[in-house]
Amino acid sequence: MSWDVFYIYAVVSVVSWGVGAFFAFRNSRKKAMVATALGSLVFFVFIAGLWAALQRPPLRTMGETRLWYSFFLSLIGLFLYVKYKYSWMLGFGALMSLVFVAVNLLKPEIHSVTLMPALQSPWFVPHVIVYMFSYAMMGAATIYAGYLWFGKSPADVSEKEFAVCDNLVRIGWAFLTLGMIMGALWAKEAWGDYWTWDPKETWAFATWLSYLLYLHLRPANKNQNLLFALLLFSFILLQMCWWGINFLPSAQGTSIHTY
Amino acid sequence: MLSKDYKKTVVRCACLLLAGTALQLFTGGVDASFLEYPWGIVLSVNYLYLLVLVSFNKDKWRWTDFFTGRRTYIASLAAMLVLTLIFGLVRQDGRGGVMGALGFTQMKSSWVFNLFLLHFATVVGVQAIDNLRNLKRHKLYVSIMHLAFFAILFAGIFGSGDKIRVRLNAVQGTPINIGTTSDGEKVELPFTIRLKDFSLEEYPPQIHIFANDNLSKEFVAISEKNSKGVLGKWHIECVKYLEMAGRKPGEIAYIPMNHVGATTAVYIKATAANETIEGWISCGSYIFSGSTLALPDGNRLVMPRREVKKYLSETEVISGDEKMAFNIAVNSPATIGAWKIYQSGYDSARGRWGTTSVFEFVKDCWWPVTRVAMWLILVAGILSLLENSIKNKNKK
Repeated sequence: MSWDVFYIYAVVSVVSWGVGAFFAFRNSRKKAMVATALGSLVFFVFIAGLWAALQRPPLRTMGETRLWYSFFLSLIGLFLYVKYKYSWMLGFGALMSLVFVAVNLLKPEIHSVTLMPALQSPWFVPHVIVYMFSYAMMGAATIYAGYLWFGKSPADVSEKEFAVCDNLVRIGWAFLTLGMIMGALWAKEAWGDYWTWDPKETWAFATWLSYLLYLHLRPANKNQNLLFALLLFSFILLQMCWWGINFLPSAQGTSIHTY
Repeated sequence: MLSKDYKKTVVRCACLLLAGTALQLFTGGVDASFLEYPWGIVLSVNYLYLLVLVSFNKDKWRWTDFFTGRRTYIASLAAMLVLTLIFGLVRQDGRGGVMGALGFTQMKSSWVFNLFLLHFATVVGVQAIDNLRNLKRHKLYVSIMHLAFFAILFAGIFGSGDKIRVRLNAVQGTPINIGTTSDGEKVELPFTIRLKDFSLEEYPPQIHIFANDNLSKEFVAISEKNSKGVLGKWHIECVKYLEMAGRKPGEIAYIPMNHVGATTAVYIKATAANETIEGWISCGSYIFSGSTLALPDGNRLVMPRREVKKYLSETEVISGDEKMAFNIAVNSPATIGAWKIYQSGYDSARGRWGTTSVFEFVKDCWWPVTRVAMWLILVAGILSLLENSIKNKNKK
């Protein structure tokens, strides 16, 4: 398996996700779930094949992490659709997955088969997958918050709808915390310090704090504009932490996490 | 508009900022050496005692508002967020100027950052004690999360004076017990280390195209004779593969050479349309020079230095009368009491033929506290996910 055949798996997956979203809108739940699950399965077959071919988990480059992002977004969309029965949820999940699939198709990253010694750790796979899952959750939370903020008038946003947002953030934050702590435990084993305020760590901490602020503000605050704005701001911080620091002047040459 | 209570918290944050700035200007930054043993322990015990006092008397003592209450917690969180963002946006290289004088270019020794961090830790600590006192009223994962996060901040702050990091270059066969700190200070270690053997494993060599002063991202990995691949328009085939090779002065061809300093060399046949080019390519070593293969279009086929897969130091550590053997590799440090020995580097010029190894010795007496707290957070994170599931299931 190589990136040369990615487009085949990508097209099959995206079509399946699209069909799933279509059935969801038509309220054919079983067909929607089967089609979406099939798309995710096909996508995972590619990831597993690439994993086997590279002889290492495909988690090293931005292109590879985008694979997981697409995969988990589709799964999260499916999970939320099953759990909350929102007909649009599969469509959103499919759309977000498509964005990252398209980036990989239009600008393919070139991957080496090597994995530097520091990355050869039992923490590597869980750390990155947990982060990817968290990012996907926060992505879904941001889209949903955006839909509630801009797509509905404040009076029409029900507590139940807000609770969906809260659940997404709470789950995403739990994974964010797991990822951060796994990274810290790994760093201690690899470098001797669990936290060095490297730019990546600083921005990861800021992102974590920002979502934590939302979770603490939310129970007693009814100011929707403030809460939605904080969620969008938190997602911007997450993007900075994920890839923005690669371009941030203050991080150039000082972060061991830039790649 | 901000409520009266929030206005109070903003004023308190402003006071902290002023205090931090003043301390920064007068002292030039936090020097953690005042927390060295035993003062770190003495201060931390007193600090914990004060936290318990605050928690038990918060309803009686009004000044404890500074550390308690939801609004204080939120203000402290928001202040930490803003500060972290500022430090994230400013390059942390310790340079001078206005930002440097205010401590914004050295996060770890900034009075402003450390004061806010201490305040944040205090707020979390009081909350953690409150959670413990009223376990039934709070969710278990929230209580664990507060307690564990506080423990990490507590150990990080009060343990900072006792952290030692020393770098040491060990030459094969020569015992050594003196390392150097990042400030260039020589430190005598409580034990001696002797490098018995150093080994380095490499990934298979890669053939790239070198064009316009750039190495192509695409490559063909050559792991044995007859390895094949495509690079641009060129079909690459390995005709001869020499894992250990060298060549005599003035000669082009490489020959098998089982000798220190041997390099990897491959005889490549590159074919495109009606063109065929062949010749030796090697990455070279500190003894033998490398070779590239010129293509008709002016580009070259090259073999960069082989990437390192793993390196390992077999060592003997002597502490008093005791001798201990350790195999130290990246992600696999040796532990001796509060010390850990990390594989930090090697002789990159000699690569697999190197006979020196670079170690870092790290002493962090507070690490056990931090490690337990981190595992507790992992548990709390998983519990919070289960809690969500239960909550949603119940709702359903």
